[in-house]
Formats: sequence, C-alpha cells, structure tokens
Amino acid sequence: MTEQVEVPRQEAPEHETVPEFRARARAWLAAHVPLESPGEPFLQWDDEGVARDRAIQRSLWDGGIAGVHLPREYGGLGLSAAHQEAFREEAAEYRMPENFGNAFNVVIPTLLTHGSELLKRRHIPRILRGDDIWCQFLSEPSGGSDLAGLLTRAERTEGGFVLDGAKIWTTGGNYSDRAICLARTNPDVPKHAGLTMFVVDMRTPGIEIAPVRLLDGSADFCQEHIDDVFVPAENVVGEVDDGWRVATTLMVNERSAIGRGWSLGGQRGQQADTGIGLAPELLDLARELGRDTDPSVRALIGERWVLEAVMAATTKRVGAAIAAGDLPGPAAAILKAMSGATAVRRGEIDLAVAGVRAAAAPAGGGELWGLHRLSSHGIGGGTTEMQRNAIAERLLGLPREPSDDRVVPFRQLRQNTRPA
Amino acid sequence: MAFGLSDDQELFRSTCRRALQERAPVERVRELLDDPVGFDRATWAAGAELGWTAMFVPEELGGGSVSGEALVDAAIVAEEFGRSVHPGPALVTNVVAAGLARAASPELAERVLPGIAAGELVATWAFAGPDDALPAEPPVTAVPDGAGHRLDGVASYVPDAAAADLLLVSATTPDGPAQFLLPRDAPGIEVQPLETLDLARRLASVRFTGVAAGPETVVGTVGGAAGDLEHQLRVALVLQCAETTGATARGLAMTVQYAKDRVAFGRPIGSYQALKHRMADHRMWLEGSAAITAHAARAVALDRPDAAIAPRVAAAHVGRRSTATLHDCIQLHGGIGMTWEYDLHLYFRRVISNEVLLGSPDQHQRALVDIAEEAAA
Ligand SMILES: Cc1cc2nc3c(=O)[nH]c(=O)nc-3n(C[C@H](O)[C@H](O)[C@H](O)COP(=O)(O)OP(=O)(O)OC[C@H]3O[C@@H](n4cnc5c(N)ncnc54)[C@H](O)[C@@H]3O)c2cc1C
Repeated sequence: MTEQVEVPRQEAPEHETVPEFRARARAWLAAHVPLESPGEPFLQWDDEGVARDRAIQRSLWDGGIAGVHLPREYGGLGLSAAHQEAFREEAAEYRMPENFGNAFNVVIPTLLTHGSELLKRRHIPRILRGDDIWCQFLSEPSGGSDLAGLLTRAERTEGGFVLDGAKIWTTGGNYSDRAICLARTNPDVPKHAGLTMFVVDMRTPGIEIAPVRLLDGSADFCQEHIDDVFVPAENVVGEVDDGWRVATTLMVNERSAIGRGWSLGGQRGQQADTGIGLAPELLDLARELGRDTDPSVRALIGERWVLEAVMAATTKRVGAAIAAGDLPGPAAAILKAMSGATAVRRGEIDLAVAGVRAAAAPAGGGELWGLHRLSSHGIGGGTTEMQRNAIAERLLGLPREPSDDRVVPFRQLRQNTRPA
Repeated sequence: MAFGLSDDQELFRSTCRRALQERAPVERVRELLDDPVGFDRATWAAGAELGWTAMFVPEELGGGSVSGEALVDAAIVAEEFGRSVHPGPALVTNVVAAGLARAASPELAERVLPGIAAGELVATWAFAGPDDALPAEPPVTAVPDGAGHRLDGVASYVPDAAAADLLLVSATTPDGPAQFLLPRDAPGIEVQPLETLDLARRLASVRFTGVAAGPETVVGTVGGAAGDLEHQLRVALVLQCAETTGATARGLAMTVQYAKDRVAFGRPIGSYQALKHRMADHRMWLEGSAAITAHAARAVALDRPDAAIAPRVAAAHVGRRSTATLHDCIQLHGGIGMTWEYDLHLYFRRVISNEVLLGSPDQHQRALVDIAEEAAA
C-alpha cells in the first residue's frame, strides 16, 4: 500500500567537484542570503524569525545548495562530506535557517537510519524546500531525564494509533509543522521495550499547544496536550515497540550536532588558522568601570577566555574523535557537561566583574550582565547530571545505581510523577 | 588528521610507553627518589635511541622527528613521562634544543646539537628568579667584559642542573635580554640542590659569580633575545601541560579502577552517584586538558596567530584542573590514598609542582589580558 511519493529535485549540475560546488554556493549565498548580524539571537522563535528562516531554506533549495550530502532520491544533492564541509565554511558568515536545526540535526539522520521509504520520500524534501519545521516530542510533565519512563500512550486502532498524554518543553512547538514523538505502545513489558516513535502532524485535531515562557522572558518552548490524536500506521518510525532504539539514534545525533556546534552553517571565528581569540567585551566593561587594573579582575577576565578556548578545543577534538571512532558516541556527553560547567563559571565571572552593573542597566541599552548568571543551567538536551551519568557509566565503565526499572514491567513500576 | 595523531605518532607513543613501563616502572622511580642525580642513565640511553631528545635537532645534525611535527612529538614523550612520573631532564633538554635550533649560530649548533640528539649531552635552562617563575627580567646579569660578558646572580628552580652538561642561561644586559650556553662546570658556577615537592624531579639554584662567557657562547643576539626566551617558554609550557595531562590521566585511571573494586555498604563505591559524578567531571576536564594542549602544541609549532595565547590558556586550564583532580583522586581512595606506599602522591606531587613551576594559572590568565591590551594598543 505504499503510496507513490513524487520526490522533487533541485536544479544543480551533475558531478560537481568540491571547488566547483564551493564557487557556486559562494555566489548564491552572496546574492540571496542575508549576512549574520552581530548579537542576533541564534534561534528566533517569532513570526518574523520563522518566516525569514523558511525563506532562507527555500532559497538554498532554489539555488540547488540544500541538503548537500543527503541522498538524491530524497531530494538532496548526493554529494560528499567534503562538499558539505565546504558549504559549512562558505555559510559561516551568513544567517542560516537555525529553526530547521531539529529537522536537519535530529530528524533527518533518524529517518535515514530507521524510517520507511515512504517517510523518507515524503518528509526529507519538504524540509529541504523550507516547508516543514520540526520539533521533538520527548519530555513530559512527569519527567524528561527518565525518558523511557514516559506516560503518553499510543493505543492501536483501525489504520493506526490513538495518542493520549502530554508533552512539554518543546522547542519551537507552536511554529512546527511536524513532531517526532515517542509514546508507549506496551505497558506490560519493561519500560524500554514498550515504546514506539511516531511522526505526528502538528495540525492533527486533538493537539493543543500553549507557549511556556523561559525564566529569561523569552518564549522558545511549549506545552502540548495530546487528546485522542490519530496517527496513521505508516507514521511509525522503525518498528512498533522498538522506539527506544530509534530514540537512541536520535539522541546520539542530537549530541553530536551539539558537538559540531548545532548551527547549520560553520562557526564563525573558529577556523583553525585564526585560533583562539580574546573577545573584548568583558575587558571593555572592566575598563568602563575602572576595574581593569585590579589584578584579581584581570585574572578573572583571563579565566573567561580560558574557559571559552578549552570548550572550543574540546568540541573539535571530541567531535573528530567520535567521527573517527577513537571515542564512543556517549563521549558527546563530555561536551554537553562541559558547556554546562562553562556557562556556570562564565556567569560567576561576569557577575564578579560587573558588580552592581549586573543588577540593572540603562533602559533600552546596555547589557544586563546578570542574565548570564540567571540562565546558565545545563538542562535542555539532557541535564548535566544525566551527562555525568553517561560519562561515568558509558565512558568510565562505573556501575549504575542499583534499580530494577530495566527488568520489571512498566505497569508495575512506581511511575514518574509531577509534584503538585 | 587535524586533531588526532598520525599512525607514526601513535606508534611512537606506544613505543615510548612500553620503554618506560619496562625500564622505569614506578618501583624503579621510587628507587631513584634518594639518588643524588635522580635519573636512570640506562633509560636515558634507551630513550635517546628512540629519539626522545632528537626532535628539535635538524636532520643534518643528527636529529629529526618521527612526524615532522617536533613539538607534537616532544609532547607525546612528555605525556608518557607524566604517566610514569618519570624523572630526568628530557623535557628541559628539548626546550634548550628548541631554543638553540631557533637562535644558535651555525658553529654553536654544530658543536652541541648532535650531542643533544644522541643523548650524550644533557642540557637545562636557567631563567627563573628566587621569588618569581616568570620574572620580567632574567635574574642573572651579564655585563660586557673584554670580548665577552661577565655573568653574576642566582637563577632558581633550574631542573636537573646537577646532571646537566650544558646550561642555557637567560640574562639581563644593559641592552636587553641575552642568552648564553655554558658548560655547567665552568668556573664560577655553583649548583645548590633544592628540596622539592615533586620527589621525582631535581631542582636547583644556580649561582653565577663572575662567570666569563665568551662571544662563542652567545645564543642569538645580545639584547635581542626576548623573542627567543618567549619561544622557549611556549615550548616549555606545552611540554609541561602534556606531562601534567599524562600524570592526571594515570591518577584518574587508578581511581576509577579502585572505585570499581572497592565495596562499601554492599556495593562498589563507584556506583554511588556522589562519587561517580565527581569522576565524570574529572574525566571531562581531562579531555579539555588533552584538547587544549594539542591545540597549543600546533599553535606554537606552526607559529599561528594564537601562538602566544594558546600555551598560556593551556597552562592555566591544565594546571588548575589537574591539581583539583589529583586532590580528589586521593579523597576518593580514602585512607590508602594518604599513605607513602601508595603511588598516587607521586603523581599528585608532580601535578602540584607543575601548576606553579612555569607560572601560576592566575599569572597566565593575567598575561592573556596583557596580550589583549597590547594587541588593541
Ligand atoms: C531550553 C530547553 C529546551 C528544551 N527543548 C526540548 C525539546 O525540544 N523537546 C523535548 O522533548 N524536551 C526539551 N527540553 C526538556 C529537557 O530535555 C528536559 O527538561 C530535561 O531532560 C530534564 O527533564 P525534566 O525537566 O523533566 O527534569 P527531571 O528529569 O525531573 O530532573 C529533575 C532533576 O533531577 C535530576 N535527575 C533526574 N534523574 C536523575 C538521575 N538518574 N541521576 C541524577 N540526577 C537525576 C536532573 O538532573 C534534574 O536536576 C528542553 C529543555 C530546556 C530547558
């Protein structure tokens, strides 16, 4: 019953060398894509940011430079990793459609590994053309770290499944077209063995989306009530009850993308030949406050540069080592944990150097330095504590805390709860 | 291979590790703790065959490096030394070799570099003051005297001075810094051993009293040696970071193994999150140490735009984090970690001492601010 999906094609020459491709990408980007402006937010989840990112992705498609290393049968260019790297280098200066980050970094690799031919042919080209933004339906009000303990149910029905439950902290939920959604299909087996991964159309009746504001005031994520939502059987990713395997692939891809820097383009100023830079902002602030001659302040400013440089060098090293097979996939937890620890210390340093300036700034201008301390937690994408578990157990081989939650049927476990 | 090592370098690493394990296991290191010279000539000779002191010496003078990346190869040796708390002057000899390869006249280079490459000459570097690892001006003074110079003053914390054949002396002249290469037994040079925290490392004060340094001993130009000193410091910082990283990796590996084997309250102590999360953090910072040290090695070797910045960044990170790690390794061992017999303190001693020997983390961090201000001026 596989319906035939017509896969659209980009206009692009066949058999392009890397330099030929690079020249073409460079010319198209220069003519059609805006430069990244300094200080602009990485993710902009509002009408303007979403419309702009859709237009940019569409423009990459129109220019024949979208999905560089993705297979041609799913709308990509089918070029090599070296072509893709050339694209990232050329794109480093430009605004990339980062709202498509989940789609490219997480969804496409997961579909390529586990998805049916139908799902791949239907969804990958729509992402490449800028049609579909994706979000991840993993965390629930009852828990995120213990993902395999989730409560959302998927019951079999005529032609598919009916989903009931709730999801939360969904980045970009209110602007997304599709979700990749993990739900429980069998509660009578241990928790990892009864999960299934689905593709869910966000416009299906029964999905109610409410934005949730973050502590810094931004509104990047949402909560969703899922009430009798029908999902056709063809939307199962991989096999029914084998969703944990699909989720593992998803999380490995998520962490290695975090390791690469998440951005769909290359990172500016991180090229090997320029090396470590010393960003002037904090030193400028200290000078403005007359603290730049204080030796302890100078040591703190230096420490902030040290933190940034170590994070950048480690990101490159671990990313390359995982790609080469010198470190196992869970080593990506080092990067996630380090970025958490780095953010915390950076926040402390900024507060110490800024002093009272961290508490208030002139209205409409001036940086509110205390914000760096306010939102320096490592939670999204898996908490710092969970990264420590991964490093300790998967990398160092230390034993887990004893628990029978992997062997007892889910129904008999004490379930995750949301405190009142 | 931008960040990893080439196959040749991996082979070199495993050969070095095997040589150290076979010839200088920690029992042998312990035997040498009370030895006045403090290192093992037989291991030294074997190391010379493997090229431990040849990498900075040009091929036509009998040197050469495994991979063509001299500093990266030297850092491999340094890391393995750290892993074995190996004593001896290979690292500082390499710093001197790097300085000579850069600045020595062809005659001077020809006179000493073949001997260094072959392991026949041990060299060390005298530059620190009694109260400052990184004095703004070298503590030894050199004043013109006839065709040459006369050296006076005391240099401190000089590694393996008693065993050295050659001393590279950084000195302050009326025209600016200069460097001289002198035989250690030249008249007027007096070596006074210091009591060291790192029991497997010999440090000494070296007093210069009216020491005559002829024009043939000058390395680089008199008054114009600032760049040479800076380069030697960068090389020394990279090698020190590599050594500390090796020692820390070993200490942490011992601790993780112990936490798997030691049982308390009915299960291995390594299964308690309160302990394993700490080990995870140490593993994380250790990866950072390896990454930033590798980055710094290449930045210095290729004279990249961050060649001054990267070794200081590495020294600040590696120094502070490694000491914290080794401290916690002992804590996680309980009582056994506090004993003389258990080897952990040997590693801890090296790591603490390395944190401050070439300047403290705070000093390096402040130096970064100096660099930023100079660049902006
Ligand atoms: C900015 C942001 C964006 C996000 N985007 C998404 C998204 O797009 N999609 C999505 O599905 N989710 C998303 N999340 C959710 C995120 O993945 C979860 O918040 C996270 O996994 C933690 O789950 P929780 O909030 O339920 O906390 P809990 O799991 O309840 O954890 C509470 C505390 O207990 C600790 N803890 C729990 N279990 C253990 C354990 N075994 N060992 C030690 N400590 C433990 C945690 O570390 C934490 O400190 C996002 C979160 C943030 C902050």
